Amino acid sequence: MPHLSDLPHRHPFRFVFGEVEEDRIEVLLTPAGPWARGGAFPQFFALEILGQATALLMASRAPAEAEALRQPGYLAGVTDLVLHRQIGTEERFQVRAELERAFGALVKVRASLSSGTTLVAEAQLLLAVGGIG
Amino acid sequence: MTEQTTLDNPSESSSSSDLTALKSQIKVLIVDRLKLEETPESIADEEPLFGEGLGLDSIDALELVLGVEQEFGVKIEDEEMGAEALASVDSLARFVASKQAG
Repeated sequence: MPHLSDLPHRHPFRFVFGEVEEDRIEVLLTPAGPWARGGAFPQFFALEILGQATALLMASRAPAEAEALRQPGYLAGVTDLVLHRQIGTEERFQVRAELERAFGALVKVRASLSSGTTLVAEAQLLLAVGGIG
Repeated sequence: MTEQTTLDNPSESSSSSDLTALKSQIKVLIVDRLKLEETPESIADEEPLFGEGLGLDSIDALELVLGVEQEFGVKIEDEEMGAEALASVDSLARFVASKQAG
């Protein structure tokens, strides 16, 4: 099971603070950090939140032999990003991710960011594990 | 002495035209799915899709794999299978045709 420390990101660019539970992971935004000055959170960071959380979710589901999915990687692409409402600070979210396809070192995932039962953002993410050619 | 033509072998003619149609479908899939500037007609059947030739990369490969599954219901299992099937439009058409034939 991946641990939060598996993410290379650190404050103030680490947005995932919960552990993987079943099919979701908790994300908590706090007023700490430069983003919350003036009370506004850069909305495009919803994408980074999805990316970090999805990476941990996918690593938690990888079978033992798919060691590649546990290697460091990065967000290589995004399509169909929709922000349904503004994200504020001091909010708690849940991220869910569904694997669409893995091929070689690439993983395509549909991820969603929710606050309780409210869908806040969603996107189709392309994660690259290791190097790509 | 009579010359045997493809008209004497309707199944061959049909199979050949099916493959030609499949190649056209594949070229449209490549251009649409990968949002290329090329036209489908400009892609040669034997032109390498990756590296030299069309110059696609591994991200394009994943998109093509997904596109082939969705369009033709044929799954490219892994990179090894993909390397062979996705070499060119011609190889992909033959791969899809053989999988669909069961």
